[in-house]
Amino acid sequence: MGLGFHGLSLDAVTVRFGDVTAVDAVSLAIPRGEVFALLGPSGSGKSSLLRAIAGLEPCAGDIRWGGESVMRIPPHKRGFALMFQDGQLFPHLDVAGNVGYALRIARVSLPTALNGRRGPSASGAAQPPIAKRVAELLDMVGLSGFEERRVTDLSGGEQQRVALARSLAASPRLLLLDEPLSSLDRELRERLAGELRDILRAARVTAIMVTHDHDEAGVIADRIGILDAGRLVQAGTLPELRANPADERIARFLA
Amino acid sequence: MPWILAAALPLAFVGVFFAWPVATIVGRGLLPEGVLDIAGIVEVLSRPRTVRIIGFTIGMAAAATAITLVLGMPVAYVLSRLRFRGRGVLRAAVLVPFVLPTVVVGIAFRALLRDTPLDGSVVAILAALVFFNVAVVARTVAVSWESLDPRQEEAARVLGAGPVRVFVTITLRRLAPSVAASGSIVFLFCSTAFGTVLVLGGAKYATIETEIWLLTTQFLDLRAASVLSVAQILVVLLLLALTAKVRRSTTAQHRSFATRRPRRSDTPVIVATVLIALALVVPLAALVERSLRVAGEWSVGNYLALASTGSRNALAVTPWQALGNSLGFAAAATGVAMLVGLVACVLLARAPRSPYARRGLDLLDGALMLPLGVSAVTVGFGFLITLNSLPLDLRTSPVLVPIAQALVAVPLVVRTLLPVLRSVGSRMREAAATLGAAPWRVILTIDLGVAGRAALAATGLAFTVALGEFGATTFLSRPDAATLPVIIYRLIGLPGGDNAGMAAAASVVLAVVCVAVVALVERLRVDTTGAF
Repeated sequence: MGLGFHGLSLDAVTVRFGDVTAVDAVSLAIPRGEVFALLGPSGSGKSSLLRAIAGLEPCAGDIRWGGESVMRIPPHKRGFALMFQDGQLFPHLDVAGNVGYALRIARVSLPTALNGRRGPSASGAAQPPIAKRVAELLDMVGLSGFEERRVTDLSGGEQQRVALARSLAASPRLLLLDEPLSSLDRELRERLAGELRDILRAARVTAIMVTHDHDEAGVIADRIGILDAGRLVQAGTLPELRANPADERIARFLA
Repeated sequence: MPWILAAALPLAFVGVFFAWPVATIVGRGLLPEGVLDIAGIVEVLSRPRTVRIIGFTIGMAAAATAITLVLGMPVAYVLSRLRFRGRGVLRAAVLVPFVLPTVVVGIAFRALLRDTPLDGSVVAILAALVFFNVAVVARTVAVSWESLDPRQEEAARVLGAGPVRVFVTITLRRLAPSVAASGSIVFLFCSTAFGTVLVLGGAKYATIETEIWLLTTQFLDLRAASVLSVAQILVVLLLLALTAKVRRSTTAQHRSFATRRPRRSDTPVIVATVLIALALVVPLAALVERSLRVAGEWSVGNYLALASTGSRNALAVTPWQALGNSLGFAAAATGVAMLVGLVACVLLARAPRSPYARRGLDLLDGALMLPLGVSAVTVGFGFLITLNSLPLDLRTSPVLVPIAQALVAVPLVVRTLLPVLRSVGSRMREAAATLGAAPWRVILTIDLGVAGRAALAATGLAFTVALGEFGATTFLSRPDAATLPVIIYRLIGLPGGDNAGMAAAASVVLAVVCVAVVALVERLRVDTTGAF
């Protein structure tokens, strides 16, 4: 994984909270276009690793994209969008305002940056390209025509779809998904897992998803990395891991 | 680094315009020649008049607080638990007295009680203080009452407890933090009340606050005034330290349980609430009636006289001109208070990693609350004795009035905005950042986006506070640029029935402006109780 590597490479990434080492020297390479799942029980450090990659958590080691270190690049310039477990939709903006948030950042300067509020001057008519892109993204996540809905009126599943569309709108180099489905009930989770896989494939985005559900990881991801107590224990496809688990614990965890 | 620069603005504002003047007063009072003047302090504190005034201030504030708590509770219950037509109107009506300028409240009670033995009595002062503060208790307690799960009371009922026992053992105990918090704030307001006491008590009943004013402006006894200011600051600091503890323990998540239609058993509470609401209207009705009488006859003469300078040209400006001054000063003060308050709140709403930064924010939080407690008279007096030296010779400058008013309004702005900004979690800001938003854009589109309505509400509240500010303004406003509350106070000090009528008419005008602003704020449906 030298300078020519296209994609994300982690080199001995370590995250400490005081005396606790949450992520312990994780090294990993994820080629462009791959969907990678970080799988592990709660407290294994997978969310901390994701936040470190996003630039939200200070860390040691090196994080590179396309061979260039991003360690000194602040979160908003990394081009790594993070989708939170509970969506973190902006309550004062409607669906279109949320989805179009990154699009307005990309194209407008300071004075018009506040125009995302609900109301007659919302992103819609004034800037047709943004409205068109928002409609496309909403269509992609199965929420056509939801532009003017309040995000607080949406169901949990709908909120996560809006959060996904909002993250994709940023056209991130890398999409980070922190337990994107775990706040939903089981039936919806299983249905959305398949959809999420299709959406990520269609968007051809490189993605890292954190989850504690190996079935979910198997459905969505190309490869799975197993994190335990902050260390990356093993990585591979689900069949590979099942056929050849590194130890007894992992075998039981994947069963 | 940019955060430190941002923190510098509110800190510099509070430092230059609050800490420095107040510290100077403390110095004057305790260290007249650079050494601690214990004999002088003892002399001032052992004057019979000083002892009487301190005792009267504390006793009266305690009595007013107790009455306010008793009267506020049924209103809080009705506002939080019952559903009926006119609930919004009741909510707004209860708030009206709180936003009226203190001078207006004083004039209203004089109009109500004139020619009765109660005029100029302790009862009148007590009644006016209660009138002013019922909203604080009713609305603060109502918010936490809304968050109480009624099923706990039902569970106690099922276990055999009667309604009184349920109220005392379950409801009241769980409301205790908010009752204590609102009680201590009311005590703070009552013990530092100035305009109301000055108008109603005259020379007969002085509190620490009016005495500081009297000592500085009439007797020029700066040392005694300083000692009293220090005494008051100490009491207030103690009280703020206590309330800070209570405030921190009441930051639980706000929930709202369904209200229900009134039942027959609610009758006593509803009757009490209706009586209290009527009692809040009566002084205002008396004020309007007084403003419409000239020499005992119905007339609009008092309103016409607002274009004049009073009988025998007692005033330097007409009340209408004074209203113009007031609106201008209040607008400037609101701008300053919002700028300082917004910057402070955006900072205070953040949860930095470093323990030093967190401690710094706690200090900033406390520093911004101080002006709420320290008397406006002390601030105005402090401005006079400090801001005359280089590099800041502002004493004759008209900017002092809006600055002092802004200082009084900033704590209110912070208390209104901060809960809303704190509701924006750090992860929401992080979500915006990973979508490509730079830190300044996160503040503009997320923090201020979410807090937009609350900011409008805070603007309205700050404006009414600045408009009615009397304690500091009376020290600072020049006769040719007097504000309306100052003019009103001048009018009632002058002999002649016309002037008293004019004062009533001017009070009605000022009240109408304040009520109009509050009506707009209420329409925004922002919870302004965080302000207390």
